[in-house]
Amino acid sequence: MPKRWQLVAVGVGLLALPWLVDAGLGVAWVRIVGFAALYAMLALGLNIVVGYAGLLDLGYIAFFAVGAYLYALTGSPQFGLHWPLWATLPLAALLAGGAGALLGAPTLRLRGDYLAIVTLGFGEIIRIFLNNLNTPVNVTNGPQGINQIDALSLGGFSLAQPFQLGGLTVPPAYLVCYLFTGLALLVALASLRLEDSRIGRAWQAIREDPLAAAACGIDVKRYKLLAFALGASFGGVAGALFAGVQGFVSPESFSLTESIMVLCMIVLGGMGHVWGVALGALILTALPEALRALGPLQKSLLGQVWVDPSDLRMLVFGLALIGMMLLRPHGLWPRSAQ
Amino acid sequence: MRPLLSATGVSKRFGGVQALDAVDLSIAPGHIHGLIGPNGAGKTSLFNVLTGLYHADTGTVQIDGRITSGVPPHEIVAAGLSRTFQNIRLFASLSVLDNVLVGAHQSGRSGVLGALLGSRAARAEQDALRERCAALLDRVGVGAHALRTASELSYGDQRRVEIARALAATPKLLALDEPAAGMNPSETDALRELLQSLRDDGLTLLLIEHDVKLVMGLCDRVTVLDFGRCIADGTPDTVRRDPRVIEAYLGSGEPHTEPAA
Repeated sequence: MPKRWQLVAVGVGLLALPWLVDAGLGVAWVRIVGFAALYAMLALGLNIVVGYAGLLDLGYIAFFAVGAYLYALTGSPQFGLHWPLWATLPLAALLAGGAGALLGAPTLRLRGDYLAIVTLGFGEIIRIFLNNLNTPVNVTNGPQGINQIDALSLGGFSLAQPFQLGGLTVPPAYLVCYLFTGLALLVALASLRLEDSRIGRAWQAIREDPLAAAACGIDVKRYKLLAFALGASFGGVAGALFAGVQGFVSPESFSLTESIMVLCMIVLGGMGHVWGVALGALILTALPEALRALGPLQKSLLGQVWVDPSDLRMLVFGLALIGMMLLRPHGLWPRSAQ
Repeated sequence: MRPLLSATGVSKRFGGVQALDAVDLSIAPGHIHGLIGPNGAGKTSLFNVLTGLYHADTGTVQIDGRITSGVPPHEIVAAGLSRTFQNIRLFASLSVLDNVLVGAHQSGRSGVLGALLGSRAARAEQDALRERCAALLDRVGVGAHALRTASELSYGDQRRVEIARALAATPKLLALDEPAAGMNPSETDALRELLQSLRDDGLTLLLIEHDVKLVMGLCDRVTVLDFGRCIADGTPDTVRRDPRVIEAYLGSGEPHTEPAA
C-alpha cells in the first residue's frame, strides 16, 4: 500500500502538472499531456491482452472506436441525444467489453500470428462497418463522421469552459488534462492490482505456457475471454473520452495504423509493465509534436524547409524502433525481476 | 478398497500408430504406482489421456469416482489429479513463488471486482495462499529461492518447484512424468526421499520413470506398458520376474538396467 505522503505528493504533482507544463512549453503541450494520458489508458487496456495474457491483438483500436461512436451517437445532434458522462462511460466500457468477448470467442483456439490476422480483420470490419452505416438508415454518417459532439462535462461543469475558482481561472485544457491524467492513474492502479491477483497470474501463466496453465487448473478459454473483454472495456472508456474532447469522430481515426501505434506504445515502453507502457504512450504521443518544431528550425537555419517534419516523423519513429530492438529488446522500461 | 484412479479399456490412435490399446490402470489410494515400459511404449500418451491433454478414442477414466475422460484439463485438476511435465514447464519469467501461486489457482475464488477494488477478502485470500505456497516451497526444499525468477534455478530445483506447483492444487493424486530425468545420483536420492515423505503424508503418486531402479525401490505397485498394451501389473517383485517384461526390455535379461534408448 502506498503511504499517505506518497498519495499527497502524487495529488499535488497532478494538480501542478498543467501549470508547470504551460509555464515551460505553452498551453498546446498541456493538451498533448492530456492526450498522452488518454493514449496511456488505451495502451494499458491493450497491455492486459498483449502484455499479460500474451494474445497478439492487432484490431484493438476497434474497441476505442466502439466507445468513441457510442459517446458520439448519444451526445450529439445526430440523434438529438445528450446523455451525461456518468451514463456514457460505464456503457462504453460495457459495450466495448461485449465487443471484446465477441472477438475473443471465435479466436480462442488461435495462437500467435493466426490470432493476429483474425484480430486485424476484426478491427478493419468495425472500421468499414462504421464507414458504411449511413445507408439504408443513417446511423454513423458514414465517412463524413459525426461532429458537434457534446464537450465532456462533469456534473454541469463543461470542461470546454474555463473554470472559476476563487480568483483563479482554470483554462479548459487544464481541466481535460486533470480528468485524463487522473483517470489514467486510476487505470494504471487497476492494472497493477489485476497484475498481482489470482486473475493476473492466471493470464501470465497462459502467456508463458498455455498447456502448463491448463494443467495448473486454469480454465484457459475463460481467462482469455476475460482478458479480451476487460482490455476492450478500458479501450471503450478511452474512446468515449476521445470523442468528448475531439468533438468529432470519423472512421479514419480508427485505422490499422492506430492499432499498430498503440501496440508500439506497449512494445516501446515495456510489455506487461504498467509504468513502461505509460512511458511508451507519452513518448509516442509527444514525439510527433516535438518534431513539429523542426520545420521552423530548418527555416531559420537553412532558409527553407527541406524535410517536411511529418515525413521525418515516420523516419525517426522507425529508427527509434529498430534501435530499441537492438539495444533494449524488452522495452525502455521493462518489468524488472523481483 | 475403491481405487483412487481407474482407467478401463483406454485406446488412443495417432494416424497409423496405435499408441494405447485397451489399457487398464488402477491406482490404489496411498500407493506410489509406477508406470514403466521401453521408449515409445505409450507411457506419456496414457499420462496425457489421464490428465486431459488428449482425449481417448475409447475407454473411460475415473478419478475418485468421478468420470474424467473427455473433460478439459482444468476439471481434472478439480477432480484431484495434478501433474508435472517430462520437460519441465515452469512459467519461466514469473517468480518461483508466483509459479506455485498459479498452481493454487483453484484454491482461490476472488474475481475481477475483488482484484480491482482490492477488497479485504481478496487480500486476505491472497496472503493466506502466499503463506501456504511458501510453506510448500520449504517442503520441497527450495524455499530460499521463492523470490527468484523461475528460469534462474538449477535443473533439479526447477523440478522441485514444479512438484510444489502441482502440490499447490491440493491433489489427491500427484502424477509425475519422469521426475528423475536428467538428475544426478544425489539429486535422485533427494527426490526419492521427497516422494516417500509425500506418500507418508497420505498422498497417492503415479510415477512414470525410466530409472527402473528408482521405480522398483520406491513403488508399491508397477504397471508395465509395451507397444501400447499393458503387459504386466503387480508388485515390483512379481513384475521384475515376469518373462514378458524381461522380453520387452530386450537384451539385458534383467529390467534393472536402462533400456537402450
